[in-house]
Amino acid sequence: MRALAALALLLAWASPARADSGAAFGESARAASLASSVLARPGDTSAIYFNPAGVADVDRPTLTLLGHAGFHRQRFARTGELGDVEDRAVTGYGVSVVAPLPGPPWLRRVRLGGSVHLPGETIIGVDAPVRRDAPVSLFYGNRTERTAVTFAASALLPWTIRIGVAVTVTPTLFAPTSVGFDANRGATVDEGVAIAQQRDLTLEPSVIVGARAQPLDELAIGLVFRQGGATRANGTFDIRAGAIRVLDEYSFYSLIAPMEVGLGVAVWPLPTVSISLDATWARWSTFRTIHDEAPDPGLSDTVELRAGLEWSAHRALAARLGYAFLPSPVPEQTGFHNLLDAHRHEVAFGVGLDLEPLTGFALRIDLAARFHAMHEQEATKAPGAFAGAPIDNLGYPGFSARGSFQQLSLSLTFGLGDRVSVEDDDDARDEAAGDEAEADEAEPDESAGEEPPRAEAEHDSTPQVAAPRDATQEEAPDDHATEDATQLERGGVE
Amino acid sequence: MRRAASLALALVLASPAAADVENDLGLNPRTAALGGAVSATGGDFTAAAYNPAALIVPGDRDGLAELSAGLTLALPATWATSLEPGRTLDLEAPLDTTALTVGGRFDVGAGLGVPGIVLGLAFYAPLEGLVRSRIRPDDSLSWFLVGDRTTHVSLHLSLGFRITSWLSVGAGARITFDEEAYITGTATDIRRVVDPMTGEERIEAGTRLGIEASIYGRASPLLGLLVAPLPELRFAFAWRGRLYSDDWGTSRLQGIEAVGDIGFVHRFTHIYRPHELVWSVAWRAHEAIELSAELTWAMWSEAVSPTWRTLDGRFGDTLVPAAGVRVTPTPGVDLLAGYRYARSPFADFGGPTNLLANDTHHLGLGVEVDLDPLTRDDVPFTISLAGRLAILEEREEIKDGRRFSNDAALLANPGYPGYRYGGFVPSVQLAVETRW
Repeated sequence: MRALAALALLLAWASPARADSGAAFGESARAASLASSVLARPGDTSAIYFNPAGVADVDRPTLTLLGHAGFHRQRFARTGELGDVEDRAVTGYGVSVVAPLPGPPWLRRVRLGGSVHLPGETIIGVDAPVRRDAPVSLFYGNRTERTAVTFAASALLPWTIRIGVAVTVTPTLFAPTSVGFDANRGATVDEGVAIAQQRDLTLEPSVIVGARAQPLDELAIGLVFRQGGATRANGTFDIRAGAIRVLDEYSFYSLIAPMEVGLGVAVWPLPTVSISLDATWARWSTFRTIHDEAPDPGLSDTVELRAGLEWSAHRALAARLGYAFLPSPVPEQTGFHNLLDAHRHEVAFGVGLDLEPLTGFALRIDLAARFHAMHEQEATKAPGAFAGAPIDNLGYPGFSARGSFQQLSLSLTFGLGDRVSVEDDDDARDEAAGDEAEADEAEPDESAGEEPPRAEAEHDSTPQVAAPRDATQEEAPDDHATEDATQLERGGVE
Repeated sequence: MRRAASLALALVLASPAAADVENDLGLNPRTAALGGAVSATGGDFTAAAYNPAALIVPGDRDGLAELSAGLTLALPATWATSLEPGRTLDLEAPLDTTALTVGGRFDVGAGLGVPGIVLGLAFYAPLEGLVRSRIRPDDSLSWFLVGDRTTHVSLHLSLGFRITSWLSVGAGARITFDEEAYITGTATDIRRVVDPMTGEERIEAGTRLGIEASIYGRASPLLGLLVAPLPELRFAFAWRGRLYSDDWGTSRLQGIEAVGDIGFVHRFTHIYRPHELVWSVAWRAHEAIELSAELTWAMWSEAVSPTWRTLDGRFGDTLVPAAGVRVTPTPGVDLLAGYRYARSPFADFGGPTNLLANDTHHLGLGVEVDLDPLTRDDVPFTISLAGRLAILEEREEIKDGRRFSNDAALLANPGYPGYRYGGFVPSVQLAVETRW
């Protein structure tokens, strides 16, 4: 049936587009408040998509619930016309789970994680216009109405190195459909209609590979590769009704996320302050429109720049600030298509409250606010670029467009179960599992003086959902910058 | 002169409408081996689907956290033969199933300062794809209870709460999806062709399509109760709400020469499971033997066809008994066996429909090995393996001319003059569970 043909397209959108679990604007509140500059930061559940190596920093079963609400405004006007403004709410919620494996020490170095994000109103929503030249927002359209699922595995290696791999799934649907009418089938017209359809929604993996290392207490590096992916929906559409036959082959395409390579650096200039910088190259040049056409004109690859700052004002409180410059891959729309996008500036800020050092209850609450400001987009059509009458084009003779986006995010991170130590020595493990205050006080001292410092720091600085802050306040900043910073990271793990 | 021919059609189709992996295969090796008689035994993540109250059972420690991952393979082997010698039935074989099941059980109450609250998650995903289905007209021959039932993604989310040491309650939901789709199309090219066989002229049109569609979540509730008057005896009661996937929308094609517009309205149901009331008991007769029994009242009489038709009483309620036994010959090793009998809820009664639905016997066998007590190291993993065989009792359908509008319809029916059908569905499951 045609609805299932549409479903082909619908379900083809059940795949990750961006961030955290892979959903557009579905990052955890912590990541959002840092403008997603988290590649090199000690990880948490949001690292499942950003840099799965960061999942290795989680040392206890952790559950994160997140929700966000945003508002998108898009203005579009052809030259000489008033145009119109489209306002739309963008909401969503999700859950992420990360857990270290129990068992022998070598197994305790492995973490597994999974993340699901759903749009607020629907599981998936898609709008594919009949007209191929219809104005379409590249970033704020169908990409925000997708369910995203990602699974990750990571491992702690010696010398502070973490590696991780994640898999997102991109659906592809094959759904041939036929509709016929045979008056002999029944007494009524309704009974005479016969529909047959096959529906196969397959999943194709899209891989994310990442690594993180902290060669110095004050310096961390992160690297990630995201394969990206596209979903397809295709099939045939065959209606026979008396002397009428409609035969159509359809093929819809959606580039969920381009291939990306990201590099990030994080530094701790002060024990309570961390700064991160990320640069991500995105291969937008492979983009195709929803009707599976190469865009006219074609898109360009981009390099996104992101920066974040986190300040631990208190052992239980962190403040965050982020900025990103997101260049647009969309050139001036002089050709047939009308893709709406321009360079964007993202500004974000947020706070994190860790209840564990205050109450013993393993819960952290993170809030974030984010704003996108888009440059004005101007386009003038080149008449010679069209085949046929250019006046029919929905962007002719030219247009201007501008968009904005605001969002609030909330994340709740629960620590479940006991922390897992990777110590080989049973006594050390028992001590770490025993008096938490003694263990926390002892760890920084041990890590500061022993060799190799990175290896010890690997165990001792593993970010946790929350950690007592008393020990860090007593430490010399120079000797334990990493520990302090990491403790602060722990407090704002998301 | 063009005439707008708008066909508003209630589309008649039939698909294997009931997808129910929980009953047909079992969500993990334990439920598969025990024949599904698990509502009172509980104690693992599958209670999120069968009886949320059994997410926490006597003996569970505070702060528990468990994670399980498993693989399922089912290979239906069915047959159907016409009662007319030499006549071939147009019937597709049921789909094989290879699936992944991931589940977890987490004590969320400990962190909240309210011990005894356990969250259960169960996610079932066919590896060949989230959804595989074959939709055919309701008079086309199709398997109603085999195949598509296990080739749809399934998600459960539940909470169990231990009120006292002998009483637990629980609530949860199974998530499925509703689909709304509005399709528009414009004719791009019109051709007048002559059929070489009949010489009739017909109009052929190509189109360009646009789609506006959404998928919504639909939660089917389930409630449960677990009573343990004695340490070795438990009673369970559960209600599992009706479940189906609603599918509706319109399609409209414009600009077709000689007719103008063509359009239709559709509404279907998929993955139908009726309301179920469950009574179950588990008894540890010996420290090494546990028996379980279960009776499920499935309210199929309220079922609707894939086209939202009640089909005039062809659906009927069923009682489904199940029994299981667990034997522990040595600490860390459990042997499991079970049986389940599911009577068919549907009969064609010789009418136009051709939904093949057999009475089914399910036999299960399995083994669980807990590595922790068997090894010297701390290895908190449990490996489970189970096999289940579903036997589809042979059934015969003979078409009754009195149930057809005319002789032409009777003779044109794909099931005429009648047929016999049956088969087997062997399945195997392997799972690994770990706990913190």
